[in-house]
Amino acid sequence: MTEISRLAQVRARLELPVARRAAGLLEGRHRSIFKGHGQDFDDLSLYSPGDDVGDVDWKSSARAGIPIIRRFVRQSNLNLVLVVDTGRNMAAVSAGGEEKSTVAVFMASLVAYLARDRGDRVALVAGDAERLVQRPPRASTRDLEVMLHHLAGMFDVDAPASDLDRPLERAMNAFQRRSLMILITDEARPEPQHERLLRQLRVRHEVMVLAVADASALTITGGPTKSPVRDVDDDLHLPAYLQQRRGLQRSADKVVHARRALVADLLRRQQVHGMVVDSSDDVVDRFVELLGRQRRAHR
Amino acid sequence: MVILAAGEVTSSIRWPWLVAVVLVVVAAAALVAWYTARHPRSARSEEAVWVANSEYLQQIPELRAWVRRYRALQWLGVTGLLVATVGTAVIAARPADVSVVNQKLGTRDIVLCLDVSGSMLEYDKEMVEVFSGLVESFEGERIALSIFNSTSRTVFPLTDDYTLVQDQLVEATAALDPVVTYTDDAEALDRYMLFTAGTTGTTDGSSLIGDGLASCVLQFDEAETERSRSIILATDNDLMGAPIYSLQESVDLAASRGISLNGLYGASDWGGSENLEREYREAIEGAGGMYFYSDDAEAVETMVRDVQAQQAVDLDASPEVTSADKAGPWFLWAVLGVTLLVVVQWRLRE
Repeated sequence: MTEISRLAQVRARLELPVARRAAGLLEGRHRSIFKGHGQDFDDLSLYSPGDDVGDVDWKSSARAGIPIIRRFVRQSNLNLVLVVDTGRNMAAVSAGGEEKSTVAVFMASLVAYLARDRGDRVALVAGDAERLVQRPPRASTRDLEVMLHHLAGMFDVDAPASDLDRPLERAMNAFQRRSLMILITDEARPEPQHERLLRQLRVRHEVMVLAVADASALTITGGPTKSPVRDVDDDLHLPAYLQQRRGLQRSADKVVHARRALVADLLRRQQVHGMVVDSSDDVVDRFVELLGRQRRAHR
Repeated sequence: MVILAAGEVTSSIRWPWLVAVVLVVVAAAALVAWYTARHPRSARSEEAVWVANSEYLQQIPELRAWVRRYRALQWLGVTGLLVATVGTAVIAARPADVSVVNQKLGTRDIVLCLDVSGSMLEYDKEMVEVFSGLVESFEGERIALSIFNSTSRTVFPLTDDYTLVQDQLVEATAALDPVVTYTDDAEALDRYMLFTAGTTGTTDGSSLIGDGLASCVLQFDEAETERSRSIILATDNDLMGAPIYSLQESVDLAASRGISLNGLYGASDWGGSENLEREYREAIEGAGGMYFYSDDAEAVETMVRDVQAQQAVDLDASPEVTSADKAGPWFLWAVLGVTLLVVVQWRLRE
């Protein structure tokens, strides 16, 4: 794993107007949570990798001979908590063809990026049936990078199975202050058995669900002579003969839609907004759209 | 049709144990393949494409039908493999046609000794016709034709030049036409006269049977090689004149040279004498030959067949065994099996 700045990766994907809009939307979230806030120019500090180049104070940098950025201080700091499903299901292939974990980490990075821009703190609760990782809320670029790096390292096909209840429960107990809980999982979750915890979480915090869509087992390989298709949880024996069958795919799509509808119904019951993405490419647009939906809902 | 070179053809398998070997090897390979397919090594997890939440596949109504189809195809493939294996195993074991060829049957010398006096023409003609039919199935046998009346003429000596033999026999058939005894047809007479020229070398007698038979005995060459020698004599034993060899003497001569002698008695229309016939029969049968009285048209053919049967028993030489590989239908089965397997695997995309 080379030293890559995940936040820089997000920035590479964020066009400026979109970033502004996303930040503004996140701003809207704050308004709904805290009434009143300030934006005072605080101080200058050294530029560290991952900081936005737009924040560089060029005059000060020229005087000092090293890059210096302006920092803003906000009275209203929001806690964002990334509640991440790290079960082995997240190491499978997404509908867009990447690993779902890649998309999940990108979503987490986007959230962290936007939060850092506002000076909000980001905490992490990641877990599955056996592991549980918690990171305290942090705002600095480096802390966020470390956190995201750690998160990215947790995904593996041989990881324990998914169990959303554990990170949800931990998030419930660990954060007393009203926060924005961002649940990152896949399209099949939250399942009905998670509804109780989700409802409790919903009472105390804002909750959003960012889900990654699964690739269809029937269409995943382009044809024969490809690697075998296997399920991370099941004994899946899917011979090539059964793949690329239109009739089967249509029926499978129906079943998948029904499953997604179940999840959507659950979220609607709990008044939780969510989104489902296929790949990293549509994360930003969907996320902006989601923030917009949430803001309208809170008016 | 009579076959002179009787060959006994039997099917056999050269290495029957190889069938078992091939079957066992293929079965072992199939078992290994099956085992590795069922127990993929964990190292393959890197090659696999991982999906999650695929339980919903079980809820697809059409899936079961497709799985059934898949299984059916698989079994078809197994059937193809089995058929191909069995076919290949049998071919590997080298099924062969083993033919026992009695080369001795090809070392037969037959001299046709025909009395061409007018009364015998009918039988001569038939004899010649039968032999011209037989020549086609000859392989190595030699045949000679000698005709006699008061003296002998060798039409052709012992030879296996069947083209020549056929030509001569056809000619003989045309010439030995019984019609010459009462016709004025110059052409037929000419043919007869030309063919029998030299058989009336002396004027003091006709049908000097003893001399004719002795001449036939002298036809046999290669006395030191072991060959089956037989004379087929056709005569009415109607002797006129003083021969050098009496019938009995010439029969003894033939016997002394190890030549089997078979006689055909031509009962002429003018009625042969009973004494003559008895003398002839006793001479032939005394020498251990077969004697045929020709009333019926089948006589000649029956005689020839009997001669052959008799000789086939006589020849006790070591038979030559030749075997020719003969895959027969097994090759087709193997190809069919492999084709089935290939087609099924193509359909299964594996």
